[in-house]
Amino acid sequence: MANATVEPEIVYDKEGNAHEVVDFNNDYEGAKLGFWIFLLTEIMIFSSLFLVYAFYFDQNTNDFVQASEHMDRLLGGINTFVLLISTLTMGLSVISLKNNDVKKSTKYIWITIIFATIFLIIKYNEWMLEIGEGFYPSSSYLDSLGNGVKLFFGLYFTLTGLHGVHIIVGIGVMLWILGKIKKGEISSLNFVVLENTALYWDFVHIVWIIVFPIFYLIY
Amino acid sequence: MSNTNEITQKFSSSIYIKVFFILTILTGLTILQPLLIHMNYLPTLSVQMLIAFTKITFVVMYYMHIKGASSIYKRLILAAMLLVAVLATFTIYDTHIRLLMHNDFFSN
Repeated sequence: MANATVEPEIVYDKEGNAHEVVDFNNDYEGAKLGFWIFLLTEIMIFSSLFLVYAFYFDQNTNDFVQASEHMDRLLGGINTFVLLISTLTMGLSVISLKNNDVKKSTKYIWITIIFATIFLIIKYNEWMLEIGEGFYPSSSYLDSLGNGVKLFFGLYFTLTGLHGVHIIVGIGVMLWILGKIKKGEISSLNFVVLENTALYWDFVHIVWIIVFPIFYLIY
Repeated sequence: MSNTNEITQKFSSSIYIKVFFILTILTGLTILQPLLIHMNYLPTLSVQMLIAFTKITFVVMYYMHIKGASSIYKRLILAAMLLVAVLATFTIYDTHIRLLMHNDFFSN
């Protein structure tokens, strides 16, 4: 099979004329549409969790409000701005690449990675503070509090944990993209992968836009 | 076919920066509202959600380029929103019915 040649793919128009399919692996609209469908599955995942939150908030309103007072609003607020800036830098990296400024685009991707890492470090410290105070699933302190408080922190760790996993995946994809840009596989003429990654990063930001007020600011 | 597309060509970095400043102001409002205006949890949550959905609209329209995109993307998002709305409606209805049944059971 070493010398096997790839047969050209042929399509026929209404008049029966044959046309060779070329560049079928570089379908811009297909790539965008496919990625949007992936994002819609992500919307369903997070929407279901927000619905669970709404249900338990309705059932345990006082406990949720009481539990929210234990959240570190300063760290949560800083993280909100960190993600906001990272969304801007990610968008600017796409624009720079379209303008064929590869160096600038790479620089913006690195800045986004740094902000994403800062977000994770802050989130890690916040979790450690909460765990240190006894607010973690199955802790004896949390068990001594109301069911609503337990549900609040269960949902908090689930939602922020899932969000954190998305941030880690985003960092991984950005590093992979940096490699592709270096090899010239992503360029000003072939940027859909970077554009889709920017869409993903915007989605991660959107999730945080909802997570922040419902956990930190309902007092 | 290259990736050059009229949808993405319309947007420049100046739009990104303008939207960034709007989002920064809205984020500032999100944080300051409960500190400056003391309200009950329900009005606070309503104001917070209003600000959050305004921010999301800006992100989706300008950062995700839905403003000016072909209608298929708008329809896709609308379909997802409708599905979430259906799920929410069933959940709210189910919760309401369970509460009625619970009250009936304890009143008899």
